[in-house]
Amino acid sequence: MTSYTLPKAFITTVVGSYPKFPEAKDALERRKRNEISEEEFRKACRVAIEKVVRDYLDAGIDLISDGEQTREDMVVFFAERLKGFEIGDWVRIFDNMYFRKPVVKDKIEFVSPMAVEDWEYAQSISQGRPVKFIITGPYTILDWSFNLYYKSREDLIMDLARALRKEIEEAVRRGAKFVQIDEPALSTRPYPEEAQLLRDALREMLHGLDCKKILHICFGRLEKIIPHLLEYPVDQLDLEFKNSNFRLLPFLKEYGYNKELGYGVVDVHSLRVETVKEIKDAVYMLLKLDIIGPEKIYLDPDCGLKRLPREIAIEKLRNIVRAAKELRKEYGYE
Amino acid sequence: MSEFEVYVLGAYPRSAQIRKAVRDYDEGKLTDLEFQVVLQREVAYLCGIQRGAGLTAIQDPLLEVQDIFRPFIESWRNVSVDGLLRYFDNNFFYRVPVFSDRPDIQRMVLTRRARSLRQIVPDYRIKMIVPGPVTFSYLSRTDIDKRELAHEITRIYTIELENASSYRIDILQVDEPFLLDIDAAPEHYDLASECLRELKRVFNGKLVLALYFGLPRGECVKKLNDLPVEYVSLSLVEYPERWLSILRATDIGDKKVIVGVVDGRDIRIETYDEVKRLVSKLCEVIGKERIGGVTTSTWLDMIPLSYAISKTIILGQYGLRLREELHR
Repeated sequence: MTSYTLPKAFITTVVGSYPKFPEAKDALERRKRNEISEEEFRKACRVAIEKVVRDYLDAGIDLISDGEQTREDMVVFFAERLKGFEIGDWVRIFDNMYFRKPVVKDKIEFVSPMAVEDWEYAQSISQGRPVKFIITGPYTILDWSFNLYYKSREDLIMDLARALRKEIEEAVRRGAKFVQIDEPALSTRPYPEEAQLLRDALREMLHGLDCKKILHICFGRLEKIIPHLLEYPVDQLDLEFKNSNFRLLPFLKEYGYNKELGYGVVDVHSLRVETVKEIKDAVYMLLKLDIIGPEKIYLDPDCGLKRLPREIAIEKLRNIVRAAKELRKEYGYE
Repeated sequence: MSEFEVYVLGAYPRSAQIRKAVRDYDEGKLTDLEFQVVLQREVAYLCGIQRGAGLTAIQDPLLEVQDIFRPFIESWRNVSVDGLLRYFDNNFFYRVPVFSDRPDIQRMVLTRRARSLRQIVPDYRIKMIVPGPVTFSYLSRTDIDKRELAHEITRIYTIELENASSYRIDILQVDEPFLLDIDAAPEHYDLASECLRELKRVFNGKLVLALYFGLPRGECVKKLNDLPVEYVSLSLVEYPERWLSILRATDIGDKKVIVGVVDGRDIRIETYDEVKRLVSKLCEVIGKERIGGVTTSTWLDMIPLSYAISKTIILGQYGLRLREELHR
């Protein structure tokens, strides 16, 4: 494997998902119709993963992902593969976009690795660039499923945490150095009791693991729970900033933010490509607060890129990379 | 005017046929007329379900509505939509309304809806919904002062209501979930009160303020009493004890409560005993004469259609039993 040394500062990365390539869409459809086995499905999606990795490498991203090409939906993917779930009927997410909301009908248990194979394949073709191992977190799986089995949310989230820990353990055993837990649902209820619910689950999932631990949360009013987020057993929080016009920044200062920060500098809900200057200005804003240095700043989009047209997604990534290169020069890291 | 309401709070989810029809219509594969045929067939079906369940008022299923604001945005001048934002604590996103100037009417929304619903249920009570002016204003982006915008939105609603009067809207539900949001403050309640007074001036039917997705906080609790409505709809499904303690400690005047007892966001089917327990507790706190009816905790469009129908049916059954027991 070719080796790749990550820059010392302003590492560029992605949150995870990437626009679905036709090969992946087709494979998902065929799998849904039971026309192909799980093995055939994975194999068919490899073409799509290769294209994702190529786009990331072309754009110059340092720390990449597999683009989540095999995931029809970030919760359904795991619910289909964990014991205890049934895939339910269609529920709306926005406009005319629906997803099959899973239903918990039995005790949740890990069966076999779910996302590890995709990660491993992406890592094998990444020309040495590290690939994040990314899974949906227990709070989001809980919140975006119906529960007809567990008496309490605490019991459900802890069983989810135990099952997901096995998945992470397998990824780490196979060499994953960066593990990211996606918890977009947390921002929907930014209350201390909800933040504590996830804290306990994260402790169960991540204790003692030898890897960089990242928690991604996006949208919503996280300022209400930043002190709780700082207690989480993770090295990095990866947060959305651009979409909310960097509203969170003063709160990071106020609460003494000291972890690494995945800094969302491009809006994944907008088709407009942010300029290099805009991205750099966003970084200056953060540095001006004097809370963390360039070594702790990872530049990335606000969230996954899956809803953007591919050409827009690439342009946004290219500008992040250009901005990072210029910033490294300006701050003496190149 | 029915004294004990039994109705669903809001929209129904789309069936597979409607989802496909919306997709086909957006892609130009269906004409307006073809789309309307599919839509109206489904609307009639869901009205039939509500009527068959014995509900006291029929709610427009709002099947073509993308989110609570969109029909109005698409019918007004000086407003467009931007990207997606999460709708309160849901895994559901609305498109942010962007007001470039004061809104103005291009097409009537309520008139069209009421006329269409009246064709299906000419002899039944009907309920229409408007997004509360405060919620609408504060969930939008604009350079216009938010208070002013809320009043402008109210002004348009009053024109709408006057125009739709011949279609006999029996219940107008004003949805103000923002008032239970963590960012809500007492001044938002004052603004809501001003807007509701304006609506009362022109609307002769039953005006209901619907509050859901949270709890009033801090100083906002005291403001509940000031809201100038006779009927307020709130949900006891998610935070029953906290709501009860708020109602125990707070005077809400002589308002009647139309209480959400069937969970609109969960597929578990409630038993009659569970529902009755909630209503009994509320009776102990505010007295049975102030129970104005029962409803679902939220709109039904965040659960699958089959469950939305099941919940409609049990709401009807339970509601009728409760009405008998409360008035025995």
